Amino acid sequence: MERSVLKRSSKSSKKKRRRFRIGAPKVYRANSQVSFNRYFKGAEGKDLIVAEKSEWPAGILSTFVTKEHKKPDLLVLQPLRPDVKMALEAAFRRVVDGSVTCIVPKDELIKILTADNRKDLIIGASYIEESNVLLFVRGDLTRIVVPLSWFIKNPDGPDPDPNDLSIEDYGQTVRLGKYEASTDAILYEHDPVYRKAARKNLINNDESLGGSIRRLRLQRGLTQSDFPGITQKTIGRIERGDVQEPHPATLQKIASHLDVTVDDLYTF
Amino acid sequence: MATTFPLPPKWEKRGWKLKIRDRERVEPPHVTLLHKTDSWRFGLREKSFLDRKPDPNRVPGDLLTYLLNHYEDYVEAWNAMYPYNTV
Repeated sequence: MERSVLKRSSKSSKKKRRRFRIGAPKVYRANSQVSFNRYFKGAEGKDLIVAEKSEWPAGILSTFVTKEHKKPDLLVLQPLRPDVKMALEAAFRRVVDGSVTCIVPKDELIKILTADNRKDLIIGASYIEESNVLLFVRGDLTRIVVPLSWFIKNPDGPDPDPNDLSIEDYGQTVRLGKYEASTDAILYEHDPVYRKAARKNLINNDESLGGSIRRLRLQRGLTQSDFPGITQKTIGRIERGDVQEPHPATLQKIASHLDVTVDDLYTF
Repeated sequence: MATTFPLPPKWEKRGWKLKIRDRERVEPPHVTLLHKTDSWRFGLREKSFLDRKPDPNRVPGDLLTYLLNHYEDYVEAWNAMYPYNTV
């Protein structure tokens, strides 16, 4: 029997219709070729179709792709053949398949994909050994790449083990062996749009340059005396706001050492 | 190693968790209360929630009381994990 996670509101119930925000993306869960075809034909751009089997999306290629249609997102829980995936990328806005190393458990996946904050949650991840980076797939199927070196080990804490990767807590925690990282911290540092929204969301928001430098320095695990060519006293004065406009050369040195641009210094 | 703190069984059964993970936004020091797709950062210096959304009022009152009663444990755990940015 066909089932969708969120079907279009039924014509019989006005109440149901009101439960969805106007323009909010819909999530369709196909469980047969027939339902997949129907959802693909009816979906709007930004909607998401979830397919458990790889042959269902592959099955539409000859029939629908050449026709005029909106481009929804596609999540396939099984791995797709690379050539099929490339072809599907012509028919869908974003395509993610089960070739990522791990995907959140199925019951959590459905909750994430239908959550308002789905773009702030991670649904899948892979470790790319050749580049020593981790690829994360967010609930809106956008992707983010994070160097393994970003996952700093704490004193007496475990080393991150990228070969034992899992996503937990409804996409809010990334586990690398015994090491856990919060999705919030990953996105705050690697997605400027997320960072801007997170800063606005703070109840007590210190928007000063000094506050930004202090937060970023601590995020990197550095002390005030870890900046070559700048005294600890100077860093302390800048962080406290005692220096209103630090010299551009000093700012450049601080930014370089924190591995960001001077403009980015203001955003943390 | 990440710390998952115990919560009263009533709340654990409903899927609530309280954590300090190995990689957090380290400033300001906090514990994170997680429930399904939502989470609330509870500031250890402020002794209050740090973010406007999700609405802190959605955290059950007795859970917040429990957090405040065990505050010292969280401070100790944070200071051990993040000695360069203690509470």
